[in-house]
Amino acid sequence: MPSGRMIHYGLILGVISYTLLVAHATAEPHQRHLKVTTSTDRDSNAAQSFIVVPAGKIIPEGITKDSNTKNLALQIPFIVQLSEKPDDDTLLQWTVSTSSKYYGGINLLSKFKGTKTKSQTTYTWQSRMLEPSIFERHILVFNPQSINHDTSVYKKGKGRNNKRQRYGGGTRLIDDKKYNPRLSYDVTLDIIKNKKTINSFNTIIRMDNKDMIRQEYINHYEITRYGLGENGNLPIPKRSEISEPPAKSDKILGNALTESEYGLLINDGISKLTIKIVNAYEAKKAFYKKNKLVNLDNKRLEIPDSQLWLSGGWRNPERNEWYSNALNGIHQRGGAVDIIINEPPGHINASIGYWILWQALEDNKNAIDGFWQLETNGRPMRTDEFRIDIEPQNGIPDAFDKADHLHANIKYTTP
Amino acid sequence: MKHYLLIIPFILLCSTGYAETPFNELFDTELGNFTELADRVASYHSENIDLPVNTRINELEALAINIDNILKIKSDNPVIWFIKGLNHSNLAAAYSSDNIDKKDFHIHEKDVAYKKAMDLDMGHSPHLTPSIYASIKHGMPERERIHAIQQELLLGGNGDNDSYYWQLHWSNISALEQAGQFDAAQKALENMKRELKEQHLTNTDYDKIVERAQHDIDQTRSLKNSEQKEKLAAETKIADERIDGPISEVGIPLWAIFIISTLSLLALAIYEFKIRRKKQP
Repeated sequence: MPSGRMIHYGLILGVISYTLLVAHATAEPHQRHLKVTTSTDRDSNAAQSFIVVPAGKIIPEGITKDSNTKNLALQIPFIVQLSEKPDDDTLLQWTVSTSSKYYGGINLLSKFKGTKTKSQTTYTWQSRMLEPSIFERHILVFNPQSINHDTSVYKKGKGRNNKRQRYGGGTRLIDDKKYNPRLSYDVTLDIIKNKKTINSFNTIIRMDNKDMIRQEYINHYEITRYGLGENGNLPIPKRSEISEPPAKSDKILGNALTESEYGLLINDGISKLTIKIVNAYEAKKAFYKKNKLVNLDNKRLEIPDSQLWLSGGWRNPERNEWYSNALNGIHQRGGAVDIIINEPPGHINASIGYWILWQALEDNKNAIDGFWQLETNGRPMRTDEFRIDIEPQNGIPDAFDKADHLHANIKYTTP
Repeated sequence: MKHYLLIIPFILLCSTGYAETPFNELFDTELGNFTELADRVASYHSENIDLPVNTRINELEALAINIDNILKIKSDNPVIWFIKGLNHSNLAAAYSSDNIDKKDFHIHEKDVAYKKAMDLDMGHSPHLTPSIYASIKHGMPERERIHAIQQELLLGGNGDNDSYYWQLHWSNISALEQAGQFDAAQKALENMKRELKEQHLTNTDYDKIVERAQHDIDQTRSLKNSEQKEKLAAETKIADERIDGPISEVGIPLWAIFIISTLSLLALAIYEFKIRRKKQP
C-alpha cells in the first residue's frame, strides 16, 4: 500500500506533468498556426525579421568590394495567416502592438476596420470583431510604417553644463551613438465564441540585429549632414555580408574590429589588413631596437616597446554619424581601421611610435596593399608636417607629434 | 566702424567652399561675416595648399592684418583669438624652411594668441570647442598644454571613437606626471578609473593603460625624489665646504691644521723662551 507521503508526491508530480503537457500542447500549435511572411530574403523571413524600404526609392544592395550589387527588393507587406480556416460560428479579432508609439505604426492592407490607440509608450491597432462573412478574415496583411531620419537629435561631445554640442543627425529616438531602434510587431489573433475567447494565437515580427544594421544603411541613404556636403550613397549590406567579429590578434590591443553594440560587423578585409600592419610595425620596431633610429638633430632615439591599439574598425551608420564628418566613410563598408600607438598622446614615445609605424608601412607598400594616412583632430597630415619640426621642436617631424591615429583602408577600385 | 569697412573687401574677394574642417559649424554659427576668413585660415591649417611659398606667405600676412582688424572690434572673442593663433601657426610653417627668426616669432605669437583664447574662454562666448582645444595643445608651453588637454577632456574629447576619450585621460595624467605634479596626476588617474568603472569598462585592455599610468607616476615620482635627494645632498655638501672657508679648498684636513697650529705655537713658545734666556745676564 502506498503511504500518504507517496500519494502526496505522486499528486505533485502529476500536477507538474499536466502543466508541462498543457504548456506544450498550447505553445506548439500557436507557433504552427500563425504563418508569417515578412521579407523576400529567405534568411530574414526565416527569422521573422524585416527591413522597412521607403516606397519609390531605388537603393543598391551589396556593400563589400567584390559584391554583386543589385537593387534592393521593394517592401513587401507582412502577412500573418491562421493556417486553418476557423469555424463559421466564431468571431476573430486581430491585435497588433508595437514597442514604441513613434515607430511601428501600421498601414493596414486587409479590408478589416479597426481602431488604433497610442499610450505613452506603445502603439496598438485592434480590428473589430470579424464575422465569417468578412473575406479572408484569417489573414492579416499590413505594411510597416516608414522610418524618419531626424537631423536634430544627434549631438557630439558633452559640452558645457552637460549640454551637448549641435552636431549631425540621427534616427529619431535612437539610443544616442549606439544603434537604430529595434522595431517589432506583436500580433495576436483571438478566436471568440459566445463572447468568450476560446483560443488565442500570438507571434512576434521583430527586426534581428542583421536587419537593424541594414535598416541603418537604408535610413542614411540619400541624406546629407545638416544640409551640407554629398548625399549618403552607401549600398545596403546583404545579410550574408554581416558576420561575427573574427578573433583579434594578441599583438594588438583595443577593440575587436568594431565598437558597435550589435556584436556583428562587416569585414571587407579589415582583419587581414590589421594583421599585415601589426606585423610590419613589430618587425620595424625590432629592427630599430638593434639598429639606431636618429632624430632630425642626428641624436639617437630610445625605442619604446609600444604596442598598437585598434581604436576603430567597422562602424554602423548611426555611430559613424555621431563620430565622423565622413557621411560615406569607408569604416561603414568594413574596409577601414583606425590604429593608435598605445602611449600617452603628446608623449615623445607616441611620436617615436608613429614614426616607426609610418616607416614600416612605407617600406611594405606592396605587401600591405592598402591606403593609409596619419590623422590629427579629424584631418590628414599636410605634406609639410612630415618635414617641419616646430610644434613642438623636439627633433621629430610634427606629423608624428600631432598624429592621434593612423587610418588605413583596403583599396577600392570604385568609390 | 573704419576697421570693419576694411574687412569687407577682403571678405568679398574670398571664394566660397573651403575644405571641411572640424571648425566649420562653429564658424558658421558664431562668426557671421567673418566665417569665410576663419574657414580660409582653418583650410590652410588642414590641407595641402598648392601655392608657392611666397604667395602663401603674402596671403597669410594679409589674413593676419585682417584678423588684427577684426580683433580691434571683437577683442574679447575667444574664437577670433584662436583663429589668430592658427594663422600664426600657418605662418610659422611657411617660414620654417628659410627664415628661422620669423618662424620663432610666429610660434611665440601663436602661443600668446592661444593663451589669450583660453583665458577669454573662461568668461566669454562663443566658447572654444573640443576640436579647438585639440588643435591648441600641440607645441604649447607645459602649463597651457595641460590646460588645453583638460578642457578638451572636460568637453568630452573630439575623437572618432571611444578609445580617443580614454587616451585623452591618459594624456592628461601623463602631462601632469611629466610636469612633476604627481598628486594631480594620481587624482586624474583615480578619475579615469572611476569613469571606466561607471561605464563597465574594467577587465578590458583599458586596465593595461591604468596599470601603465600608475607605474609611470610611481616611477617618475621615485626618480624625482631620488634626484631631489641627490641634489639636496650635493647642495648641503657645497654649503658645508663654504662654511669651512678657503683652507678647506686646498684640501688640508682640519686635524692636520690643528696639529700644525699647535706645533707652530709650541715652536714659537720654545723660540721665545730661548731668546729670553739668552737675553738674561
